[in-house]
Amino acid sequence: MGVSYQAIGWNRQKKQYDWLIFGFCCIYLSTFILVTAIFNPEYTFETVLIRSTSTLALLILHVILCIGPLSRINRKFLSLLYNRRHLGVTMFVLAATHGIFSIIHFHALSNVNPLVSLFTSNVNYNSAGGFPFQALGFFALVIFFLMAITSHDFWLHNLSPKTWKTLHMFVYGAYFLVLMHVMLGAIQYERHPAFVLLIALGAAAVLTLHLVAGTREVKKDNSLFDPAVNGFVSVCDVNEIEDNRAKIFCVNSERIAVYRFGDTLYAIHNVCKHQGGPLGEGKIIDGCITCPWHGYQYLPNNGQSPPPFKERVSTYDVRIEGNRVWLNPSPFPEGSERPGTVISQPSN
Amino acid sequence: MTSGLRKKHARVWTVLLFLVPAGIVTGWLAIPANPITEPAAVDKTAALPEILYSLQKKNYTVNLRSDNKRSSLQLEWISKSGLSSPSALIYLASGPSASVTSNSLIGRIEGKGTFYFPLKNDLSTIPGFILYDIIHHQVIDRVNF
Amino acid sequence: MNNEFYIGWMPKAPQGFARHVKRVLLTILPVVLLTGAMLAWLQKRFSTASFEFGKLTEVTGVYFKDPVPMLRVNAGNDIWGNTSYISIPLVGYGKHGANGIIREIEIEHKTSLDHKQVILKGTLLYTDGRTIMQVSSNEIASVKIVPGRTAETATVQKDLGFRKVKGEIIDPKCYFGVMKPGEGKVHRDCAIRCILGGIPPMMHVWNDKGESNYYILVSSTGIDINKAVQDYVAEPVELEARLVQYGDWTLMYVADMKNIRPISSLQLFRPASTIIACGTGCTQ
Repeated sequence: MGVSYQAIGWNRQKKQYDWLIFGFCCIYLSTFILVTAIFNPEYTFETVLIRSTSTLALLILHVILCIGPLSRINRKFLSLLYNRRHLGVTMFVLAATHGIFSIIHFHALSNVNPLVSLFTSNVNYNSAGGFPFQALGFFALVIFFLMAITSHDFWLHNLSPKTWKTLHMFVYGAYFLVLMHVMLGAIQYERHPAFVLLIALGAAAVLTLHLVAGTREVKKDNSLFDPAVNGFVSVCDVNEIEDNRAKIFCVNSERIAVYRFGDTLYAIHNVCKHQGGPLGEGKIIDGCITCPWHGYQYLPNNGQSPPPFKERVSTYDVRIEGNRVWLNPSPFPEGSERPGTVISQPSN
Repeated sequence: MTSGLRKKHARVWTVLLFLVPAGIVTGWLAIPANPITEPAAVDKTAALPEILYSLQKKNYTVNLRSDNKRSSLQLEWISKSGLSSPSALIYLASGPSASVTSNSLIGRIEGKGTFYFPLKNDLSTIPGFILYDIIHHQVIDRVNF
Repeated sequence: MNNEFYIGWMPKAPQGFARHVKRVLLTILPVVLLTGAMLAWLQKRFSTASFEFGKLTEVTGVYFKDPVPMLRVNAGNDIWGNTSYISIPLVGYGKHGANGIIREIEIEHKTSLDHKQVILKGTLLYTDGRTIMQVSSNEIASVKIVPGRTAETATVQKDLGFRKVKGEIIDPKCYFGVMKPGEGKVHRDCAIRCILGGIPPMMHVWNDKGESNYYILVSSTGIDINKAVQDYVAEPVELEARLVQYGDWTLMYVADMKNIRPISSLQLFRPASTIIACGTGCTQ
């Protein structure tokens, strides 16, 4: 983590990621335009621009929505998650190009304002086939816009992680709006079955991945513990926790990460203050618990980010009796110093 | 994620699990059938039985037809593709390189389809035709059997 | 357990992660690219309609304001001695009908254009051997009007009786070349805007061989029905109406909105029957 403020902390990985996105978008758009021109010498550039940007945005949206659950299923996808917002902003730029050009193309130079026309031209809300699909795309674009402009951590800190996360969860609603925008729009015109099939395949992939990832989480969270003794719950054997790593326990519906750092165990809240990343799936690096999502760091003994950073998470009491690790699920205020518990006789 | 956020995700994806397939199926069912009207034209003239002369071109076929008694002549113009000119009128040509003259209009081509035009029953010379765009004032093609 | 740990702010990803990402990208990127190419390939073919954007053509003809503003161009006599005409419906700039621009020309030239021989410059749009012309305010100054009502005969009309057809109500300006596609659901809002802007609606019908026909829609009393057809534009409809051959165009006189029926779309309820206009003795 850098100490001085930078709008974007560029590094080699980030630059590679962005150049790859940019290069790929250029290749995709050129390929789409070229294939269209070859098979349709009568094509118009406005239409091919509207179609190439929209199809690319839709494909990228599917990739974006799959990265989250894929990272939960296989942590090696985390490297795609780290800069996912760059992919999101790219998708928004493409969707906005599609939307703005479409509004100009279909609504400008008429006897009403284009934005008024968008909502008043087609008012067949009683029909599926005739439904005003452009309005659906417009609302999805508004959500993507809000997400894109608040994608920087500046907004995450200013809006508070809870508000920010809630706002960004609207992407799921936007996804549904986009699907219906396509199904009630382009699919009604382009009647080749491959279009419907592709939409269905994409939706099936997104739904399946989220359900698989979600089911695995639920299974983990439903582990049962023996009743608490003096407020402490027996959670595992000491030797189940590797050095510099943690095990996560869901007690009273809240996840707690129990870390081993040398010969000491520490317990902190599992949720990173940045974007809610699973701290217990991280690693202690340079003496700091490091979040696997975006690398935010916390000291294991007090749950505080090292200065000058100010993030703090709750800490918990943990103790060892025999070989068993006992955890008290009552949180201490965020950033509270807890001594941890020393493993007196290393068990391995 | 906090437990609240996990619950929100679970609810959202449970709803989407039903909503997304329902939406896709609704959209698929709503795809309109291709509305066909046969014939597309209001009235169709029947073709005379005999082909006296025929000419194949890339975009069209032209036949000179007559009845069995050679008492009537008919021009059959089969247009295989759309036109790329604002108008396409057929004029009778008095010679291979003749220009459009008055009282020589045969009829008009309107895109893809088969068009029939009655001709004067005069086979003293094999007629030639000019396909002419009256709006741009230019010859599109010439037909000489 | 593999002890590799990925941190995005480090300059390099651990080898295992880097290898995995490479494999994933080498799979995803070609798949996305091929999907895009396939989508481009499977698109419906673009129409062969033409819009002579930026090119002005001077056309001489007689202007008629009814049933829709059009210029009738003399195509010469046919071999039977009958005079033949090509009628070019006029439209305005953008999503506007021709009424506005014609009014401007009439004000500028202080005379009515109806039934007058005029020379107009405009931009041509055409498909299937039929042409319409866009006239914009830039061309007002170049309009030439032959004074006095033309001596040419009125347009020949022939009643073709009732016919039920299936097809799509289009705005001819877009369909004849400005937009590709200028039809169907994706173009619906634009078609509605054009028709509400005064561009005369047309019924486009076609058969399975791809042969097309176009009917100009008018109400049974000849009044403007642009507003009345708003809900039926750019979707498959069945329409029953009286056809009248009007020169080289066919008019379709729609008497009642119940004669326009949307087909093949999930409709929660049918739009109420609306009588557009009534002749003498009609009770609403």
